[in-house]
Amino acid sequence: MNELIEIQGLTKAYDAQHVAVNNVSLMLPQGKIIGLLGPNGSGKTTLIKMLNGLLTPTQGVIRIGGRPVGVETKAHVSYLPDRTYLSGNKKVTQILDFFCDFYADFSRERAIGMLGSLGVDPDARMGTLSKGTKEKVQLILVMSREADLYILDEPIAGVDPAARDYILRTILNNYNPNATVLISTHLIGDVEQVLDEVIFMRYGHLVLYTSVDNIRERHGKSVDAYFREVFAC
Amino acid sequence: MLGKLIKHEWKGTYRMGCLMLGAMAAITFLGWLSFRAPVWKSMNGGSEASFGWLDIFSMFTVMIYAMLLACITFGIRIYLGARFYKTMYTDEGYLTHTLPVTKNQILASKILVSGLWTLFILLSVCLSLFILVFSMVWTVIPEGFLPADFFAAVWEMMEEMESVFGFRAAHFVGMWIVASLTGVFTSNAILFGAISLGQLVPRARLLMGILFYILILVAEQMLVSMFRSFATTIGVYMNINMDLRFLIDLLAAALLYAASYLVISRKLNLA
Repeated sequence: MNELIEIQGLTKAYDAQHVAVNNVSLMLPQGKIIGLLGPNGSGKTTLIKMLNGLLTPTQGVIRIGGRPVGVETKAHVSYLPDRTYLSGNKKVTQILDFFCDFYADFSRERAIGMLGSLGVDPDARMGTLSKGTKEKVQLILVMSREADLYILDEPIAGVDPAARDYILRTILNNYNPNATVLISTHLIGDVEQVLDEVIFMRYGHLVLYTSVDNIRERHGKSVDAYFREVFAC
Repeated sequence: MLGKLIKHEWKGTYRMGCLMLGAMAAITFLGWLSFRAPVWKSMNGGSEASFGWLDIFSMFTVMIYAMLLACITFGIRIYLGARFYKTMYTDEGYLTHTLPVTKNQILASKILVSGLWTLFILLSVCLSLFILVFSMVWTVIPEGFLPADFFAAVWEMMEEMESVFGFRAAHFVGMWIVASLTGVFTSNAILFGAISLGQLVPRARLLMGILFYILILVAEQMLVSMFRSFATTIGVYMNINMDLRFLIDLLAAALLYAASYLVISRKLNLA
């Protein structure tokens, strides 16, 4: 199998009491949509930040496409954080210019097309858009890249069901089929139908990494029902 | 990629930078206008002093000029520091730190562009003061006194200090120019380093960054004063003053650049 992400003995400890990710080892393949699932505080966002070079691991190794996290991997990873990270002063078109300049795999035409279908004026300033529209614009920017790896941190949290459908449709219709999509979410029922594989995390530990089909066949349950069973309080 | 970073940093700052330069032009005009009042002309004894409402307004305008000048000088520093903090250590940092560029390129682009704006503000302050001093001197000097005479008098005074105290005037002026030009970049490297050091504490990071900045400036001043205290004459004191400032500034900037680099490489922890 062609591995895209290699994680070995990964640990992130903020201090002796707070170990956010604890000795996680994983090999994630190319061309899959993978759900990163776990309750609050399970270490999902910390793991995602380390994959994007926003946090330095305390121990362990991450390789993306055979390279350690750095300038080269950032050029091939398209990341959607769980917050609005674009300046409210900038116009959408200025942000498109920015992405065109820094990401060789960014398609301005595709982004303009998606913005048009959403009715977003490229001359609008980010600060004037509603929270939901800002999130959609961010998703459009991320999905307009021909990346090798898409990392989406809580892409459907805090939006209405219609917007969730739009977001999932946008992801499915626009991702590079050879790429891997890593989606972190609590809303398993909504994303389950698009996932190929799932990772369960709890208290910073890797609990399970398997295919969705395997869960359905071996346990006779949906991923959502199995998740509730594993993480029952 | 450094060129692209500089381009976007410039685009992100030019609006505020131009606004400040425009404000500088406006207050310079205001200051120049205030020296048109009759009270200044009366100072050279050429006319009868008549202290009217226009003169009170003139004095008031000069005070406002001085205040606004200070506001713009500190304002640009506050603006550049706030922008650095916002784009590096708040939500906007998620974009900055996931760009396919090196950490040195990020820091260099910010220091270069901030340095350029600081330089423009410094030049505009010098130009503004020159226009004001010149218009004041022009108003109060006796008839027949040329502007060139004024500069000749200043240089003559420096040469006199050179012969009496052993003060090297050309060296002093040269170092002042060099220190001012490098200072626009080193001062921003120090400011950004202090803000980055603030990220090492768990709470009130921005406040701690400001506190670190004040402490660094005080420490720099103390270091300069300590070395200056070895000067035995006023000439030696003046000779080493600019050299010391230049060297200590350079050293502090190098150390704080390294601090910024280490913080964004190893200690970055965006909320």
